[in-house]
Amino acid sequence: MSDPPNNAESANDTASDAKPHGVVYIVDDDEASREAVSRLVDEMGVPSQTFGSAEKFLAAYDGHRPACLVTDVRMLRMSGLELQEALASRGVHMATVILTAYADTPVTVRAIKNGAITLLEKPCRDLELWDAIREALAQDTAAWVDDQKRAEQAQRLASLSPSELEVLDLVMDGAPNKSIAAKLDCSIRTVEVRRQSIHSKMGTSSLAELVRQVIEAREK
Amino acid sequence: MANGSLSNDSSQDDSNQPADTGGVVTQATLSALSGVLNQAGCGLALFDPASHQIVDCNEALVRLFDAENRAAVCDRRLSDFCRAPQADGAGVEADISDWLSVETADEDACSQWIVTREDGSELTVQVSSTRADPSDSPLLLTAWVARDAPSSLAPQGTDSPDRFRRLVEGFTKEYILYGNDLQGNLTYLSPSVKAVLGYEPEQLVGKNWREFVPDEHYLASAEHYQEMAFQGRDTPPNLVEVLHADGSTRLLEVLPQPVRDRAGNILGVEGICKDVTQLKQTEAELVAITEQLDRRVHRRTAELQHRHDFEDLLINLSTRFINLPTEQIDEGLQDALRRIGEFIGVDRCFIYNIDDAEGEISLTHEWVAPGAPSFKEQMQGFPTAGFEWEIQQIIATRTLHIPDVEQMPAEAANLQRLYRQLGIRSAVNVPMLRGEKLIGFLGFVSIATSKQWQEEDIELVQVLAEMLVNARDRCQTERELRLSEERLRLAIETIGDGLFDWDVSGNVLYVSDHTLRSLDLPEGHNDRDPDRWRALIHPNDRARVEEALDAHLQGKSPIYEIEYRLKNHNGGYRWRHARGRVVERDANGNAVRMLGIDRDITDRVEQQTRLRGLEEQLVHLGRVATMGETVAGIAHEVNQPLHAAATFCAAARRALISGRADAIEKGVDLASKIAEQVTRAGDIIRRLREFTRPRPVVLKPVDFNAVIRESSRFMTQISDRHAIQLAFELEESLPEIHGDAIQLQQVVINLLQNASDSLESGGIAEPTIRVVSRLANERVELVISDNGPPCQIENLDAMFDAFFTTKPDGMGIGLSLCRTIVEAHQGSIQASKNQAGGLTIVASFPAAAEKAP
Repeated sequence: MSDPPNNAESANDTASDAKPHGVVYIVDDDEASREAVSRLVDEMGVPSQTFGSAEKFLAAYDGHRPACLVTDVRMLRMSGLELQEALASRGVHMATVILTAYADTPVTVRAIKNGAITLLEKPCRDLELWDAIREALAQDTAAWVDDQKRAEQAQRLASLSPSELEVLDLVMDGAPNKSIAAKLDCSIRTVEVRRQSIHSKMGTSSLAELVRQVIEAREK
Repeated sequence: MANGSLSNDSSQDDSNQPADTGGVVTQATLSALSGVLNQAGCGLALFDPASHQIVDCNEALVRLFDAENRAAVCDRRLSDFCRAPQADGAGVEADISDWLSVETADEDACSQWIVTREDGSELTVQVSSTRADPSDSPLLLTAWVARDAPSSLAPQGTDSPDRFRRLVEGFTKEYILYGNDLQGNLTYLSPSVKAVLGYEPEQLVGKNWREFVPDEHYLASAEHYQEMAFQGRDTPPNLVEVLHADGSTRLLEVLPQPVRDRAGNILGVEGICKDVTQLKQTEAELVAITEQLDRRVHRRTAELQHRHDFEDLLINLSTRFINLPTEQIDEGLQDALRRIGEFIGVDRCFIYNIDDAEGEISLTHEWVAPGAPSFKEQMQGFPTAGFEWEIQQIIATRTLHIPDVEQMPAEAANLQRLYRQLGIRSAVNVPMLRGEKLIGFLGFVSIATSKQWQEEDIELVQVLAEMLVNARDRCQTERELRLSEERLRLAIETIGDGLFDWDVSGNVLYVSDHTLRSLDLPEGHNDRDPDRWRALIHPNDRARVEEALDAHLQGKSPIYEIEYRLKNHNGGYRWRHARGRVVERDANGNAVRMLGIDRDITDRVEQQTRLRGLEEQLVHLGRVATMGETVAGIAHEVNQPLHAAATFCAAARRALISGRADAIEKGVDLASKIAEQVTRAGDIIRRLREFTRPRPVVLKPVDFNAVIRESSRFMTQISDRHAIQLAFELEESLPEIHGDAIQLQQVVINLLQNASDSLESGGIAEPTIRVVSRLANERVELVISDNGPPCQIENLDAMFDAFFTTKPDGMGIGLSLCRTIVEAHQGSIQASKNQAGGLTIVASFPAAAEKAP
């Protein structure tokens, strides 16, 4: 084993002080490997769950986020890559660290395509795995927060009434209140009340903010 | 019987014949004989052959020599009186010596001598001689009879009966002189009749002699001779039995002569009688004794002849047996039995074989006289039980002689019963012994007659039995020898050995047809020029062969043995293995003759070369293939613990850096985990090294399930890659097998790989390999079956041949290696098509013996 450079170590050390959020799921048919990864994750102060096979994990996973999947490629029956694909097919986009003893090109390409954060060759160099898991957790947390927010905006957008959505669409097109009222054959006052209600439901205070949020919510 | 007849016959016999002398003659009888012979004009002399002197003589001889008296003859040399009729000039003494040598050799010889008498006249005499009695006396008794004797020498009594009569009466009482007339009435009897017949002469005169001859036979012959005398004919002496005064009879020898008057008319007869009763009795006794002797001699001669013939027959048979080819031995035995049987005159003779193990006897050879019954069929496997006494007897006394079945000893009751049952009257059995072991017996039986065998005949048949044993042994030995020779020849033919016989001194090399055949040379040209033969040796091998050969010829190596190449008739080279030895050396130790075997081993060498290459290739490819195919699996295996260790290491470091209260405790714990994983990695490396490095096969009890588990670890990547399901059904309480774990592992890996290869090639919905271990018939079985695409191979056994493959890039090594290893474990391996459409391969191994508790 080679000694890693010291400066990199200290930088990592400082960064590692912040306690990551989420759960680490460890899938490996080698018991020692499972335990080792679990102990490492332990040191991060993050909870972990270990599984001896992909099938067992799939059976047990309840969709908890944020989370990180650390899986071996070669296992009896379902492989790590197949597990990735199975999760994706369920709409779960969990940050994944792929471990493999023998990284050939086809395996690497497939893993990355499947959205793996990192593919590490066993045995990992010093804190490679530590860093990879932390990064994965951070990413997943971020992605999860993002997802949460997007979900909220979509929810707000969904709470608008049809008449409010008519007004919003016209507002998004950049039409002034007077032309909106004319188009909708209602009073300017009515338009103003509905715009007020939209801002209130969407949690926005300015036109620019509203437009950005609606665009973001609709992107999904 | 020519001897012993110097009886009274001679004195009354034709006086022209020489006296038949010889026989019982003593000095005393000489004097008694002298008188009678004197009257007959027959000279008698005792002659000393050593000095050629006449020791004593009678008056007749004195007269013959015309000497003055006996004193003028006695103590004189014979040569003084005689010479040989045809003198050869060697002198009279030499002639006498010649005569004596003939005389002593032939008792019946008689010779002629010319006697020169005192008056100068010469006289031819015939001389016969006999040894004087006792036989150790050196003297010869000689009788001299003159031929054409002058009248002075004629018997005096012939024309002077009175003088003759007086002479006789004067000195003998044994003679009776008598006369009778033409009617037979006695006219005169000499006084000696009293002494001979007990009558006074007066009592008889006037009586007819016929009254005194009671026996008709004698009467008739006496009448006959009297009649002859009446007719004036000479009569020979004849015997008449005459009544004695006491009523007994006497045998008289009578010589009648006619009595004539002056005119020549016959008036009657006069005769001389002699009492020959005693003589005749003695003579009769003698004749009887002689006859008896004759009979005995005859019998003895016959016996000797018989024995001689018998011995001749045996010698004849034995000579025949010696020269008899083995296959004719049985015939010879049969013939011997016939000839012996016919010679001895029995009804059957036979040979029984004794089977000790079975306690049986069997008739192996038999001759039966015409009309006699055969027991050949009947007497096979006849039990010996109950005949122990007889067998004991035959071994102890070398014979079992039963002259008559009705007089057998009580111990032989069983045999007696058997003989009666078989209708045998008498028998002789003699043992056939090999050393002291009774292997059979030779027997002779008579059906109807009792027969007392001569001891000598029994001895001879014992000799015969011995001879037959030898013949049979020889036959057996020869048969075995021939068989072993045959076997040797066959063996040599079969194993393809050629023979060579090198006459080193004569420089001729004999090679067998086999060698010639293997070199494509015509058979029959077996004598070869060694130098030209040597030129056929491959140039690269020649020096080596010469060196080995020279070393052996010089006695430096005990045997010449080499593998070399020899050019065959077609110019190609054949590998040969020669092995030979000098079998004869001269006084100087130079090789004279060398014998050996020269085999064509081309096939073997080629096969060996191929095999050696194949083995190397197989082992190498086997390892490389296994390693190559499983390198990913191996990397996975090795990396697993290293990965775990590295990760534990990272965890430990984080724990220690954190500086928490339990940091040290965690660090220590994790360090032990690290050590554990490093050890595990080391173990795997060691296992890999063991797997690949050349190592002796170590057979020890192996848990076969462990082997299967260990092997399948190498296979995970295969099943992983091709989504092949590995289903294990391992029988838990499987007995251990005796084997080499690494080699067995190689078998399992190869079989798994083979199964997965076939699954890989075809689109099978759920590719599965079933791996089963089980105990069946005390053998541990490994069953590996796949549900791969239908197998197209016809001959499934061929799958295990090297280089057999159906894969485009396959070498055909794996299964071949499997079979090699399995068979090295006393196991077997078989392939069959299964119901799932794929192949099932079953390898079975003998279960190791239970470990001692």
